[in-house]
Amino acid sequence: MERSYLFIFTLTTLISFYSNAQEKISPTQEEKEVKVLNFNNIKSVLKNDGLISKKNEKEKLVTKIKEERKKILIEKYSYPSEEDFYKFLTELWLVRNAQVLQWDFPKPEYGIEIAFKGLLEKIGYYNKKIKILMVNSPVISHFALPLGNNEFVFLVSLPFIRTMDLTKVDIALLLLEDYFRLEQKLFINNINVDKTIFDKNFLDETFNKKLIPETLESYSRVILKTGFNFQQQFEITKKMNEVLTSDQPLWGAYYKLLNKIDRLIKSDLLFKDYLKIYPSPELQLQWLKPKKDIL
Amino acid sequence: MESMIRFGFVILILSFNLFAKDEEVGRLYYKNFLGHVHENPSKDSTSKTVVQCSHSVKLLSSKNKIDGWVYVEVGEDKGYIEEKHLVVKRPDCLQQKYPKFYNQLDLNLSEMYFWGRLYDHYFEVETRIK
Repeated sequence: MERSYLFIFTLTTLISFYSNAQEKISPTQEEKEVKVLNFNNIKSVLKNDGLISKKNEKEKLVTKIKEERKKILIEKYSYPSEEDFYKFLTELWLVRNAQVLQWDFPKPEYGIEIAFKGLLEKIGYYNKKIKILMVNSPVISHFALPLGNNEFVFLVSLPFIRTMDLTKVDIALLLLEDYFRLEQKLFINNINVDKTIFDKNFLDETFNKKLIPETLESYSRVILKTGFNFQQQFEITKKMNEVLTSDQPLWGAYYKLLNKIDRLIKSDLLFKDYLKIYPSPELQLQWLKPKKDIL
Repeated sequence: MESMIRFGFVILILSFNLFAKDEEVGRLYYKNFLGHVHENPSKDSTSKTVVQCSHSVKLLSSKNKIDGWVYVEVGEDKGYIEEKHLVVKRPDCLQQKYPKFYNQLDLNLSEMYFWGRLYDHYFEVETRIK
């Protein structure tokens, strides 16, 4: 009997002790609410849940998207790079002068491009993209224009090569001269282009409306009227001499070609303007003549 | 009765040939700035329509295959394009690279025609190391 009383007493003592302990540890409803309202506690909860880092990530993503969209918009309004600009403008000039140049006519394969390719490869000019456009007009004899990175278009007049009775080697040599003019950026230096536009955009400003017509006008002036000066011609003749000296038959062909042109422009009125563009075959011959040693 | 069957058979074959469609054999992209779909496989043949760079072109099977040319369908027009102007992957085009600058060129129909004709008239080569 005594034992059972002792057991009941111990049990009630333990229960009361436990319930007291429970009251001390668990917070009240208000305490709970305060805890919930405590920003620092929310912050810690958010932090623990990874929500803040997610929010930061999202903000970063939104900023990146905004930057990318702005970049795309700027790209849309970009002026072309220098190379792309000349590709646009060269072809636009050819298109707008199609009636003057008369290049849209049926023609057979002349094989000039093969001869020119062979010459360039022979003297070591590789990875050059060559386009040849035959024109059926004497307003141009031959001329090369830039078409982008390592890409060039060579205009060749059919009346000119017929009147001159030029061989493929002769034509290839003329085109080589033209190639050197492009390589030395003589054409680009002679035309007036607003070079400040390259790699810029016109998103926040109005497009320079004069840019295209003025550049095309400049193209026409150089190609049809002014061409190259004596100094530039001297540089080109010197370069041709340097490159062809090691190949005497080619050097001889070039010398004969200049003689032929010199005779033609002095006798045929149709090509009297040749001198304005390429001065002057007579001087070129003098520059090429080997100097005699005075004993 | 036999002649009727024969007659019906002939009519069936004829109608099959009449309504037979050109079979699509693949798709390629036009790579130049602008170009032409020609009526015949020749550079000087009439232009049926103008195509722009990166335009998807449906290749059709053709009975008369001519070296260097493919028979294509562009929109509602069928005709020929030189094979060298077409590529497998969508090319990078200046029109798409600089769309606002391209708009400033303000090309009219005649200029678009001539621009396409340029690529018909170019004689193209590329120098390489032997």
